[in-house]
Amino acid sequence: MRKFSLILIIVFITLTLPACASNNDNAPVQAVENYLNALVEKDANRLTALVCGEWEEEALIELDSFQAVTARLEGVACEQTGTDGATALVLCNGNIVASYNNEDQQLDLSVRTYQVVEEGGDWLVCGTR
Amino acid sequence: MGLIQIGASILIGLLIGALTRERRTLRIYLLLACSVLAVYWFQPALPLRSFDFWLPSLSLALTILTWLVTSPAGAWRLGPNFIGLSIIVGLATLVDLSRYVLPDPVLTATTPPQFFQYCIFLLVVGIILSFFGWSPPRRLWTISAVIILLIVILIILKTPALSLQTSILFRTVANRPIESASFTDLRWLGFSYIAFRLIHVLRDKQTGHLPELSLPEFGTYVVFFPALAAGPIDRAERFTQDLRKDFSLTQDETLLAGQRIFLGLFKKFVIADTLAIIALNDALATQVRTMGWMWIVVYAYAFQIYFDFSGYTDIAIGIARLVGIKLPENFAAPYTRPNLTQFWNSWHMSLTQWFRSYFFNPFNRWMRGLKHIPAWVMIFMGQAATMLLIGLWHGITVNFILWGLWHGIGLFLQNRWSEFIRTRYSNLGQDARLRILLQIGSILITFHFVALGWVFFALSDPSLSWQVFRKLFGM
Amino acid sequence: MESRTRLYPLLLKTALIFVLFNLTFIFLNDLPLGKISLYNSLFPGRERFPFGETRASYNLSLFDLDAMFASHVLAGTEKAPDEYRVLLIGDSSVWGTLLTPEQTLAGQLNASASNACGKTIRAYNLGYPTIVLTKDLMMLDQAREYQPDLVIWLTTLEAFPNDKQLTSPVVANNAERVEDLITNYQIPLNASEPALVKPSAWEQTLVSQRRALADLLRLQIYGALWASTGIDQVYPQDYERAQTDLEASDDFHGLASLENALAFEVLDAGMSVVPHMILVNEPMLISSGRNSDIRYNFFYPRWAYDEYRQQLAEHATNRNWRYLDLWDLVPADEFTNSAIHLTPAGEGLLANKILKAIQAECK
Repeated sequence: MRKFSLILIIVFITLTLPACASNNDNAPVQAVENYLNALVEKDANRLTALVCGEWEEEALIELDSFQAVTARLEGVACEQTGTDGATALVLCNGNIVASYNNEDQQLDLSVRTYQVVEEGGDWLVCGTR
Repeated sequence: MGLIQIGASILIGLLIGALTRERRTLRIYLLLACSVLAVYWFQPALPLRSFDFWLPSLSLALTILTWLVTSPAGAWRLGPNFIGLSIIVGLATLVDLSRYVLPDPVLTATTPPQFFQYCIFLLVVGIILSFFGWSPPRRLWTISAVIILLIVILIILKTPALSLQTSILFRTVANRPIESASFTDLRWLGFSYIAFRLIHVLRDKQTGHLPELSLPEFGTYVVFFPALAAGPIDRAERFTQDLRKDFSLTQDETLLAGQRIFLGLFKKFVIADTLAIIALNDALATQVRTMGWMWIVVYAYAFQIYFDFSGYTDIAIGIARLVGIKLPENFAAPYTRPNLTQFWNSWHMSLTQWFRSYFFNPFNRWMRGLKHIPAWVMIFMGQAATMLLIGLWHGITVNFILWGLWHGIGLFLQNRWSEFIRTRYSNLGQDARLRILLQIGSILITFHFVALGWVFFALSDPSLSWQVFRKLFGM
Repeated sequence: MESRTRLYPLLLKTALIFVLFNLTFIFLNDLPLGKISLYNSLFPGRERFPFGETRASYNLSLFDLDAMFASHVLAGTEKAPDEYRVLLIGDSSVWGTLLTPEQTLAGQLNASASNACGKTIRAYNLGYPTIVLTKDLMMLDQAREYQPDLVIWLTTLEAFPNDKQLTSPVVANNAERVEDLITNYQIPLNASEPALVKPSAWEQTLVSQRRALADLLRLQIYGALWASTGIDQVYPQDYERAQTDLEASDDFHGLASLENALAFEVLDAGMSVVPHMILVNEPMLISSGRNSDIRYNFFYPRWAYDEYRQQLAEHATNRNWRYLDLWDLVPADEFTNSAIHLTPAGEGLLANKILKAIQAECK
């Protein structure tokens, strides 16, 4: 029992260390990519978890616009282009390809820059420019 | 559960069955570990951030709490129980810490909460559990308190207005827009089944019928991954008997399990999902134009709900069989039954048996203790109250109340009719052809009674149900 | 030992049968499975081709022309002796985006219960929401077996550019048909165009064709919903109206001129399919908003559309076609969510003109 408890404690500490040491520089980019994936998968619940409170309604409206289409991401690559105070700015290249009327329409992602903010330890999409 | 989760469950079942040949303890620990992880993985994303982590964690906390109040004081310190506790807490911690290690959430639908939030949760839960772990012999009030807590949670989850208010409360605290709040925000996967398993254990403890169970056994029983999402609701005593047996996954067992799984997959993903396209729903209730088509749509729902639910049960029973657990049957050709009593003895049997044990029988015993109540009143009250509760278990809405009462009254009328026939026409069954005709007629009448009852079950609003009835009967 | 042999041979046999069946299915690909239909037997035929992207529309889009025609009411309607059969070919405006079947051009022609050549006019909606001439030619080629008395082909400039003739999904996924059309009608299109989907052997197996097969089955099931509800489209309460404030751009498919850029050969082929045809340059929205001096609408800069109209008029005159130029028939406020989608009132205006043209055929 004592040996088992000791093993448990060591494992716990080892696992806890990443929690203390982690510093994910890529988090704003990851947040936007996750947001875009939730958008094309039309997953409203996941989308809500990826956006800030102020922008939740707009995000759901954007999701609504995809309800009648089959959408996918094409050649999407995002990178952080800068900051504006505490807001990270992320720009994505590539397209959302929406199949409507049996024809593909390409929505160019590079026309908007995503604003990403940190809230409660998570980076959340909070608007576009 | 989607196909991917079912596929993963089958693989895990095969692995556990194959790797734990005659190794009982390892099997139990592996089943517990997989079930704990499944609680997180199966939980779908929710609009309330991180609730897809908190709700499964609460399921596990309630499981441990129930075990503590039904076990001897200090039992958690014993080897297997400590290991079980470590597995549960350790895996929950692992799931939370995955947010720092994995780029995308894998075990949860969305990113788990921050570690310090999880630590606060652990602390609070730990304090509550410690009270029950270290306290002097528990009084019955703690068991009653946990039962009440489980029922209160169930009521909140099943009542749309209360769920909505709860969602609004959480959104307000988290500074999220309350305009987007919905009563579906708190879809807590499997909680109805978990709650009933916990309540059954607590009641058995109160009545002195509960054997001693280790935490690994108890934890596995409550959140057993094949039966997590849709039952069946097994009994702890029966379940742990299977767990305690030495088990070897033979080819025969694999074949039988495979047959059952395949049958379930076919029933659910081929038949039920096809019927779902034309089955009664809120939209079709107003769109269907003719009486004939409305009947077809109602029949489609009746068969869709049967194949969907029994398909899931078949899958659960099949997967459980791979790991040596023989879950109870839930369905026995219910639409071929000649009366409503037999229908309810063959539809969702684990639920009706639960209600029979923990409500119907005690309620009847209580009524028999009251004086001057005619027998027929007792029969009516017992049946109506039980069916009403079964309706409310599905959802606390007017339509589910109507559905429950439909069956409660139906059972009572059928009971009185059977009594009437039995006393006056006992020789009716002697003619073979008449017997067959009566049997067919009874089956058809019973099926249609049940199918019409599904109208309330399928729709969200009594006015829609009334509209459907009017169309069905050309009114 | 005995039971040990049961599972593995069973799995092996299952796998073998599965592989064999998959491979055999390659040879069954040419079977016209789409012609097997519950429409016009168990369920009434649809008033227009199946098309849709949402489950709420009780409809779906598929590429199998046999299935599309088999589900259409045309396939199940024996031509009556007193029936003047009119087929309407075109794009989403003919199909009737945001219109019920009764509100479409075909629906309004039928509702008028008019006569032509001593017979009752019965119009059939063979529109399909894709704007490309090759698609129209495919439909025409398939439709002639239904003995039309008259075919009315409504078209617009957007259907003409050479670069889109083979890239539209419904065209690209019917490569064999397109190849036949190219051969039979001597159309100068490239049968080796990469956009044409020519499935490999693996892509013809059961596993690879599962989506197409599922769509065929779903189409049949949706027949029950079509029969019971009469719904084949979702009609949103709100939608974004067609743009009237336009971009300050005169681009049209990157072309500097329409010379040799339009697929008139495909048009010629289509107009030769049946003897009696009327070609219609369909109505479109003419904006008076921002940049309307440069563009007529979202689709067309003025220079391109004017040039197209001139070319089409000359082309039709030289070939002695019956041609109606109705481009400016409908006022701007009778368009819905696109510069070519009409309101019911707009369709009514069009129906009146078309009716007169049909009756004029008999004189």
